Amino acid sequence: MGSGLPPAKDSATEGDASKPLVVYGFTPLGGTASSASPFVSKLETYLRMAGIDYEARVGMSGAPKGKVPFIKQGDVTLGDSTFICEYLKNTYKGKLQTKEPDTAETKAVAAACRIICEDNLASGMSYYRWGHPKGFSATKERMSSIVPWFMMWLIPRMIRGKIMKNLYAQGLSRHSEKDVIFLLTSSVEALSGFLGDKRYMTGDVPCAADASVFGMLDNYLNDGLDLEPARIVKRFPNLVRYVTDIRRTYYPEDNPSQFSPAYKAGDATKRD
Amino acid sequence: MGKGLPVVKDSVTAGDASKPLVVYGFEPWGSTASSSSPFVAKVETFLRMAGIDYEANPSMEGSPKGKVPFIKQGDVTLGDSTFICEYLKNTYKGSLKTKEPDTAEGKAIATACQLLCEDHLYHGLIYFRWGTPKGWAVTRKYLSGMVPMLLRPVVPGMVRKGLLKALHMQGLSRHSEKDVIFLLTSSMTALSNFLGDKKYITGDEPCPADASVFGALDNYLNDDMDLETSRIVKQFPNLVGYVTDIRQTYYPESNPTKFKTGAK
Repeated sequence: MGSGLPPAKDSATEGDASKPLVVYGFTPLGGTASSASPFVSKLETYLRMAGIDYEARVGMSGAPKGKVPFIKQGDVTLGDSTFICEYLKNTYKGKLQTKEPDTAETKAVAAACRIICEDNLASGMSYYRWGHPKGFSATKERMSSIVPWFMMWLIPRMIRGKIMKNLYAQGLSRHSEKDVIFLLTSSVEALSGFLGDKRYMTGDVPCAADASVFGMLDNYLNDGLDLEPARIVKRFPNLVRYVTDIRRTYYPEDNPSQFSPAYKAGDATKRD
Repeated sequence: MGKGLPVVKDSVTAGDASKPLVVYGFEPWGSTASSSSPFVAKVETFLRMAGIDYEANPSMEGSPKGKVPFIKQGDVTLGDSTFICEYLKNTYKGSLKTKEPDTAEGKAIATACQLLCEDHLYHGLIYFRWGTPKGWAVTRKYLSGMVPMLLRPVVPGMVRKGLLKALHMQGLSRHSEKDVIFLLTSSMTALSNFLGDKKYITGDEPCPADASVFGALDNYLNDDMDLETSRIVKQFPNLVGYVTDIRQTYYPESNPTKFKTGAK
């Protein structure tokens, strides 16, 4: 009892760019440009922004940290979207089409945007998609296309139970919905304040933080579940403009997300 | 299994400033200026920055959301440091000595710094204090001091197990220590860059975000546990200066934290 931290290996920091890169994750939800998981969406968006070729596979079997996204390239298997992006920045150094922030101020803004999305807004999404009755029934309906009918009474509830436990430990579900909306709005407002009237968070060229923000806000706005998160983002026109612009630029109709059913394997060579 | 959200009341937003205000939380550890809990330290620091009178009670009995800090004032019992600060801002409107940021950019920076500390750096503190063998050896001693002798073999281990399970769910402890240090350092760099050479996060006067940042950084730096956490902050001289300045201004020797037993 009371045993300590589980052993964990250091993340690989670099690999072989000549080997094929495979990304594992979930399919889109409703009208999201990329995956229903904001972290998978972040990764796919970063790959597109940076101009890196990849192949997507739906699924999570073999996930190193028990979560998606994870990648495989040559001998490397790596989990966690933040460490994957660091790995990609090193592996494809010199060929990236993104531009990392280079002043103290823009670096701080990029780091802050990532934390706001990944350590704060992510919980809001779980709260609404799994906790809220309306969100859960829509989530269940969507699961019925991937879960065998005779498991539908069990699997969504099991997952929900686990997520609710997480949310309680994290703290968000100890608040009333009105308080949750207050907290999420203040985070989204910060993102809007940082973006201002710029095209991307740190200027005219996207960086990894834009992939984080897009992954989260596209899921908030476009999952088609008609929940409060979409209404919160819509109060900030510059964020709606930002999401729409990134969708058009990086997920045009002739090059949809590789996680979507609309994508066909033959499109892999159409990069831009 | 599979049950939805627990039923919870909306937080009270304002109360009666004429009634005495009591704040509940943990005692300091090592040389921390205020509580060993960054969230309790945030509230105590905000009260001092804003110039609000209060009493401190170093216990957790009656906690509305199962956590500290929480406050009692008249009929109001309220948990969660963020909602407590909102309540205080409304209840003491017009007499606060803090200054809220008033530009979109200032507000964004204040929110960002608060979230960097509360949604990220906080977990690093738990990782090092409760997860690592070195931190746990000291933490266990502190905890044993707070628990009746008969329960000492049992309770500290149970608390640790619960916290580490939560940390696993949150995700930080799925990483190696080297990766954890990388993540925490990157948040610390952001804080240092936002502060720059200013006196406080948003300028010359403190705002609630400063209370949040101080609560976290003072705990990182000054718990005397000699963990990686203090080494990370020491890489940023402007953050060390910031913490020292706030300690000197708001926790002078003549007026130490009210959470230290024996303090008035």
